[in-house]
Amino acid sequence: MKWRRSFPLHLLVLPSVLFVLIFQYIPMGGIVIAFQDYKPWLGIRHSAWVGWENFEYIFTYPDSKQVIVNTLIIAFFKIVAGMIVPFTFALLLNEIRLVIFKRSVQTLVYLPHFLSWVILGGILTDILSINNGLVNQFVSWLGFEQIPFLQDGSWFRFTVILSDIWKEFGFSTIIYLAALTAINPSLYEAAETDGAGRWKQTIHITIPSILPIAALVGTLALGNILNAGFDQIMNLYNPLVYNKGDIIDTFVYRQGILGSQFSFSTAFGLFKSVISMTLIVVFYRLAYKYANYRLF
Amino acid sequence: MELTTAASRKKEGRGWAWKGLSGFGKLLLTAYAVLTLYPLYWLFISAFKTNEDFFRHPYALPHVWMKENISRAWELGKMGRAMMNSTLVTVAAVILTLLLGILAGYVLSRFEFKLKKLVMGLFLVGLLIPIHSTLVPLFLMMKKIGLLDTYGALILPYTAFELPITIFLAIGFMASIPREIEEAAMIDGSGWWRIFGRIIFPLCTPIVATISILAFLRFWNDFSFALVFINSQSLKTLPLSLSLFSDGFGTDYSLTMGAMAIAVIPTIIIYLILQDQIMKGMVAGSIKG
Repeated sequence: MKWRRSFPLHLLVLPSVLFVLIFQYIPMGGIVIAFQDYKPWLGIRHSAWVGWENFEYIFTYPDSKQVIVNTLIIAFFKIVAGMIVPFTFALLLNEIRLVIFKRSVQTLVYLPHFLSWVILGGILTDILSINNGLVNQFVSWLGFEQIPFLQDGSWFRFTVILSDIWKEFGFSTIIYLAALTAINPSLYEAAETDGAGRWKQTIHITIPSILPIAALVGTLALGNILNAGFDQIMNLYNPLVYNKGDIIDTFVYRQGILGSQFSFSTAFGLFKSVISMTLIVVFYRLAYKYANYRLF
Repeated sequence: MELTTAASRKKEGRGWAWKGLSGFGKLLLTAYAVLTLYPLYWLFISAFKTNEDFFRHPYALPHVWMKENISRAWELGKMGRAMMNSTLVTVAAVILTLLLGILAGYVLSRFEFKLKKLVMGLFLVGLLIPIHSTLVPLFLMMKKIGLLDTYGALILPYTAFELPITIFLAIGFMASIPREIEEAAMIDGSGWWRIFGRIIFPLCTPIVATISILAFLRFWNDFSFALVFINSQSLKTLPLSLSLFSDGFGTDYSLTMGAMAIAVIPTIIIYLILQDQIMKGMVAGSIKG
């Protein structure tokens, strides 16, 4: 009786299950082409199996090592800066007592998070361009040589990391601001009674209170060590900076979709995903164990 | 929203050093605020300049306000079409995500059934599947079933990739709604549908807002799926047609700027309307699901 009554309700999960199965799991099954020499006209069933050949190819293909290194470097600096900057910013903002000022800064900082990299990429390309770009006109007015922000590999990395922080840190700050509101005010009152100044209060109360959140955010961010930002790089890079700016995702896109090397690029993507997923699982476990963090 | 922090503590006990530091902090924050706004300001003034003006006086206001830049960009870039495509795809995918996600979340948070563990596991793994690694197989699959280069090629995968997080957010939220409410309604003779429509759904407004915002942002700004799955000019979304815009009119800066200014306006409007909700939603949704 009970079963009959609630049966149609269980069915309501079905559409979601189907969606996820079709668009996430079936393509995952398509990953088998990483072990094949996939030819579109033969399909998965008739293409030849080649074992680990594609994966071996990843490590012998001259460009791929560089691509992995690029990804690691760019992602690493993004993660580190992505931890330090919002943390510091939240602390600074916390010390401002002028409510209007605080509110407007708070509102403003995460505006860039909403803009797509296509638009920001367009703006950055123009602002940083080498002949007439806004920044370079200023640089040459100061009497320095123009800086090839998007034409030289090392400068490109710098630009990518800096612009990513510019775009995202305001949004990350929200978490810290929320954590700051949770600090018990009586702690500050007690400290004040004991004669601790604002600086001492910051060092001994504010920072220790939000450090666990910071550690947690950092731990979880480490799972992104192979995500260096497809949209961003895609909209900023050019063949001049492939040597230092090309990352796994853009490489896979160029080889796979544009170059029709389906098997090789899928193998590369799979290689990346396996490492990422392992890291995510490991770091979630760590976060759970040490910070008692649970997503669900 | 204003987060009232413990900084509203007493103002006594700050020496000159602290004042200096605080002033420095204010300066830094102001500088940052300017840095955030300037590129947008620059985009909007540049959009109204002639090409010559653009190069000669990059910092100044336009000598002559070239309103036709905007209309020319709108026509040449087929921005109207792109904007319509983006709107259609985003709205359809957001509605689909909400509908399926909230219902599934409701069922999963309220009922016990045999395959529940399996279903939850399915969504959990779905949450972890990195989008870019399945891009090539997804592309091949869509090609095979003829979905490539249609609106469905965006709406369906968007929904599928957004569903797991939506469902977990919904479950998390609904778990906090006491079951007694439903039991009371049931005693009064309401069926499950009525309970869902009249009680649960209205109570879910905050989480619906959060989910919609997250999904909207993801879909509206998406570049990679559109880049891979859409080919025909008439189906291109805003980010895609914009990125190709600079290929065609790369040297015509005033036109490119005009197009980007048009494209950025909807995002800013949405941001201004929703920024209050966003802050609340993120605070509630980011740390605890």
